[in-house]
Amino acid sequence: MNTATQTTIQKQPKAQTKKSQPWNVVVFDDPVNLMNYVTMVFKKVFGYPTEKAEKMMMEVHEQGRSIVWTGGREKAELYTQQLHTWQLRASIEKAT
Amino acid sequence: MKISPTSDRELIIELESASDARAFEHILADARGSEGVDHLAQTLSGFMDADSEWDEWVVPELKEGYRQQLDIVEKTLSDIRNENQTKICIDEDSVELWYGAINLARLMLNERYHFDEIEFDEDTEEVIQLAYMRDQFYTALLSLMLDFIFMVD
Repeated sequence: MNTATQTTIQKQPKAQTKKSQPWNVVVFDDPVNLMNYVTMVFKKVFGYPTEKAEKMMMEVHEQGRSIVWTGGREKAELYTQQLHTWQLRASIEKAT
Repeated sequence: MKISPTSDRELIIELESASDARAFEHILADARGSEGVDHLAQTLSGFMDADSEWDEWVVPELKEGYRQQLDIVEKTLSDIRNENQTKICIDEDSVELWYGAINLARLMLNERYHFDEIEFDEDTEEVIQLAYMRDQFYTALLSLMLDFIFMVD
């Protein structure tokens, strides 16, 4: 004797891929590093044009800090290491 | 001391007296400070959180890099003493090391004396006044490097 079984397949929702959390690279002001040096470092490390690098430098100078890059954590740490090599105060923080 | 930029993006520094050479010897002493050249690496590490394991992975490389910057000053001073050299040439190949070494000296001096918080007058202690003069000398050298070798606008 055959019993037909009904199989119901419940579709599970596709597992949502979490977008990786972006991180900011932040540069802090200090009373020593020369302004045009800081601008030069931003251009060298990030490849920014002069205008953008100067704007960020002025933000550091006037506001005490500037977010100079946003992206994945690993790259943010790499950039921060480079900034430390150039003797700038820098860190990373979770982007909001 | 005469400092002359050249069209080849160099700074030629001609030392004219023993005190000129001493001005460069101070760079090493000031950069090393009372806590050693590793102090800056540790200070910058303080800006990073524990998750980054900065002390383990990055600080040793930073320390080594800063030491290499001071090595060029040390070697130059050795050449001045042992070979009676009276000229220092800072060029495109060496400017990052020289800038780093002199900037380290400024950073350590400012950490020690906090010049931006001092109101200088005739009662300011001589040791602080002399340190400030060295800081100004270093700033002038750094500015010349930025203008004539790095060619920053």
